[in-house]
Amino acid sequence: MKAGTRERFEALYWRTHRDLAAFIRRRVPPDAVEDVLAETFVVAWRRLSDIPSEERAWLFGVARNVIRNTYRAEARQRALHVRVAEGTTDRVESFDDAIATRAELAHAWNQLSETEQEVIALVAWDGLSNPEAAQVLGVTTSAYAVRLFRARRRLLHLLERSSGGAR
Amino acid sequence: MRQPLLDAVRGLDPAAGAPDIDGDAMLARIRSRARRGQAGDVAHLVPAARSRPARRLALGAAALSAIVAIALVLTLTQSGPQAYASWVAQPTLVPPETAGEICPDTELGRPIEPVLGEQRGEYTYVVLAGDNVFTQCLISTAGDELFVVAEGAEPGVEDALELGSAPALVLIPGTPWGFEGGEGPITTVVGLAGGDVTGVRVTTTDGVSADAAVVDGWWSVWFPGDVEVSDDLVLVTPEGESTYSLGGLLAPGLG
Repeated sequence: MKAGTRERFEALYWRTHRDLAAFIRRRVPPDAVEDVLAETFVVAWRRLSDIPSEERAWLFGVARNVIRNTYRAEARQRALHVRVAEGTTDRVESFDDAIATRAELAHAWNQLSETEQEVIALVAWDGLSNPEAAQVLGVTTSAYAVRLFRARRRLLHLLERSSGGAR
Repeated sequence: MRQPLLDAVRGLDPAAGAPDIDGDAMLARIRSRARRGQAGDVAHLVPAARSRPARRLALGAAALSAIVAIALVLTLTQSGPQAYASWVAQPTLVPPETAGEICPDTELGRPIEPVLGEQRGEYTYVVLAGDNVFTQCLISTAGDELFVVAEGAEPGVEDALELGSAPALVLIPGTPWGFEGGEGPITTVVGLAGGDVTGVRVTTTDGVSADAAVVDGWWSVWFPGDVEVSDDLVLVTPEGESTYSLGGLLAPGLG
């Protein structure tokens, strides 16, 4: 790799590797994070000239493909689940009227489908904008917005049900 | 839907508080792997470019309380006595995502997504829906050039697109849809159906009967021309056929 290209790659690496590691950590077992991260950056190295200006979304898309290529569906499904200690009763402070406990929210989250979790996680956990999230999933921004709307509506519905219809 | 829900979900982030990786060690590992690996074997891992509709159609803004037509004519095809000659009463289902690519993707500024695609002869009809809005889109390949027309609607009340306990709802009750160009008006009947509804049949007062396309809780029928639709709406379920009053199933806000 030429010096200029190497510098460009390393700049990309230092700009993005923490966010990318977090993206991967949310989706694979802890002992697999570094393997997926390395594989993703190897792809970026080889395709450096193809990386668009939305570099973070592109890298997340590569990581997602690496994960899908490597892990079975049930392993991926487990990865996006969240674990909350039994009996946790602390309220979710930012949620309107604090109607749900953290455990209730986690329970509702874990009832979402893998697809619904992914749609919400891209904005809530990975901090992507709608156009970036759409790029990760390979869909149009409007299609992503509809999916997000539906996933959020379903999460709210599950939450209302699990918290006894308090809303 | 409120933003606080997403804020609350952020609090569940399983990656929060995780230790940083050793950035220098990882970079060295990537360099080593890149040198060892075979070039050109990563194409399947590169994200596909986002698909875009072949032609982007712009919808004009309009204040809607019921059905409002927005004609989007790309090119003109023939019209006359042979209009919609290849139309058939039994539709063929087509993938909505594919069929709807050329249709608008917003209605009143809200995103809409194809939910139903059906083909009758050389005509593809797509229903697209979003947050309390929906659009019907007709695509014709009958002429020398493609013809596309779309019409958006916003029910006058909230949650009109929720079925509730009704066996089915009617959103467009046999309304003539006229537009510039193409092969002239058509008459459309569109609605929502419960999960046990496997078929819907609509008949015109002239005695022409047509089966609806039924997809994921949506159904649609259309007839060539400006025709009058009978009030008898037949719903087919595993238990058999039942006849309902089409007018009695009008969705709230559209009656």
